[in-house]
Amino acid sequence: MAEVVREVDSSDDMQRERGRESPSRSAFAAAVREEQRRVLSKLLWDETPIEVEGMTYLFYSRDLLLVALDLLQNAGHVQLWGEELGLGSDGSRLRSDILDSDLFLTEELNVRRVHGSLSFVLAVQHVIDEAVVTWSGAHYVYPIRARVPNVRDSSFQWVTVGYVPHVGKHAARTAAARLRASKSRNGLPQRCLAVLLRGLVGASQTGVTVEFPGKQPLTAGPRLLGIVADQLAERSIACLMGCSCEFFCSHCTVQRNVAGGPAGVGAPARDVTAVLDAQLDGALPRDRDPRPYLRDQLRMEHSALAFVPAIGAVWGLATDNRQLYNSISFNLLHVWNLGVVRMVAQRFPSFLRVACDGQEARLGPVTATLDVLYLRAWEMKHLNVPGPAPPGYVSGPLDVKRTPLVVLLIYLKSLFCVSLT
Amino acid sequence: MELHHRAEAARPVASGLFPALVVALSITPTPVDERESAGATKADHSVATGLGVVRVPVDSYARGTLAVPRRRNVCQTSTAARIRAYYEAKPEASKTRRLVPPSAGQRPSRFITRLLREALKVASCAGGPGLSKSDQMWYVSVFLMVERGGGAQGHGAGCHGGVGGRKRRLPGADDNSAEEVSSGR
Repeated sequence: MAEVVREVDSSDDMQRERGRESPSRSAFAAAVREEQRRVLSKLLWDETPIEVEGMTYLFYSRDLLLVALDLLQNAGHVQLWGEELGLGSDGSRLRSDILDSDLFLTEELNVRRVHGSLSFVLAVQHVIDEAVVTWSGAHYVYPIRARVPNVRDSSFQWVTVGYVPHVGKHAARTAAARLRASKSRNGLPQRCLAVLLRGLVGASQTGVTVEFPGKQPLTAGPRLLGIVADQLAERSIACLMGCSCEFFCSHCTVQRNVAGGPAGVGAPARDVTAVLDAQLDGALPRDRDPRPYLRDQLRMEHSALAFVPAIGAVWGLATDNRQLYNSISFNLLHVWNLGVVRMVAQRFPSFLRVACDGQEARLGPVTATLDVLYLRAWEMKHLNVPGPAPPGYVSGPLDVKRTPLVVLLIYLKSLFCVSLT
Repeated sequence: MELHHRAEAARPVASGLFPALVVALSITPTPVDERESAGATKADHSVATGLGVVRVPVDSYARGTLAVPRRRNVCQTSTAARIRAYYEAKPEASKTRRLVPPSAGQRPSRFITRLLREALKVASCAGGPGLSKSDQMWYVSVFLMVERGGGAQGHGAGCHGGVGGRKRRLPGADDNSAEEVSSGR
């Protein structure tokens, strides 16, 4: 260990930081801090102050385009072009991953039509999960992670590309405070995404030249082909109203009162261009006149908010095949965000009594377990009351004994395990 | 029905990087609630102006959405370009700065051996957020203290050997080492 400290302690400036009593200890701490700064600098992390409703939030991010190109450059195995897998023995279409999906293949056609045959789709996927609570005590933020499906390395992981600041609950119980918090909560993520996607947006239209060793240069057309989110984040990313609105489905315009029945089948798909244009038209005057009723038309016709989805600037989502709503994938781990949490939590004591059969739960007595739940709810602030109404046609009271065990397990797992990074 | 003036087109928006054609719709003498005549007229207008046709709802007056004829700006560009221009016009678009100066990334790493990297990993990842500064100093002091004890017992063949052998010796070496740690010596 002396060698550890000697190596860390070798430079002059480190020598200056040495204290009289325990020089090596402070030198180690200083070296760790310096190493963190060195890595942050090499990975090109940026910070952007964003002012929303009089509050300044710091958004920490990397340039998503540079991250994607870096991942591609350092990959061991790369697949540039997609391929349809054909039919299985029962005649059904075989599917493996995003690279043989209709979404990818149609975008590939568009990219090669625009940029020529020596081009490929640089697919980027996002996962945005506001329920992920950071370990940091200094920053109350949640991460945005990205991956490039073209990279086929088995050890490939999601890469964190940004940290979006949480917007806390409004302190004052007034309509003005609620409106201000709502505007901040809706507006801030979009402006963070706009900063994050800035490089990617331009490249998605013009393409970017990529050179592989020993190969001729190719043109990469970056596309956002997957946004993994729960329903809350899905509605937030698309700037649509929550699940208690009339058109609660992001993909189609099925009405709430007929959803789940025969009358709801065949509802027309959402018109991406019409909704985005309406949102743009609503967002511009919103900055000048905040009165909500001025946006009633937008709310009634599209169940949309007067904010502009920043991902719509990426080519292919609002142009060509307009895959904006199709690119959003569902995060099954967060079904509890659909209002299940509310229904389950109210019955959690009785569930514990049944599950533990009169004995104590793993975290102790029922009261202690509930304290843990309350603490978790406090950490997540508004997230435990996301769904004012049951999601769509999944309604009715929850019977703990008849509820599929997997739902409860998913809830418990997400509550205690998966949400900490 | 309103026609478009080509002369007022082509005004760049936002930072100027994304030229978007913007045209101003004139006040038209035609009543806004007048139904359009047939396709020939529409085709004529499209050919003459090069732009599309903007319709207003026939019940606009009744709904009060267009109480008086007014000028509107209509962007003749893609929705994606408009969204891009919208966010490029935000003040934070020019406020992004490096979190750490580039010079910090050009220095060589001090953690160049495996042992150093493992120590760094523990210090940076322990418990999720990593050790606090005081905990890092405590962490190193524990290593130093154990190593001093190991050297006194005749195992001072370099720090790598000392740390590497510690794993195997720990179960049987609890008497002296544990006492030293607990007593803080």
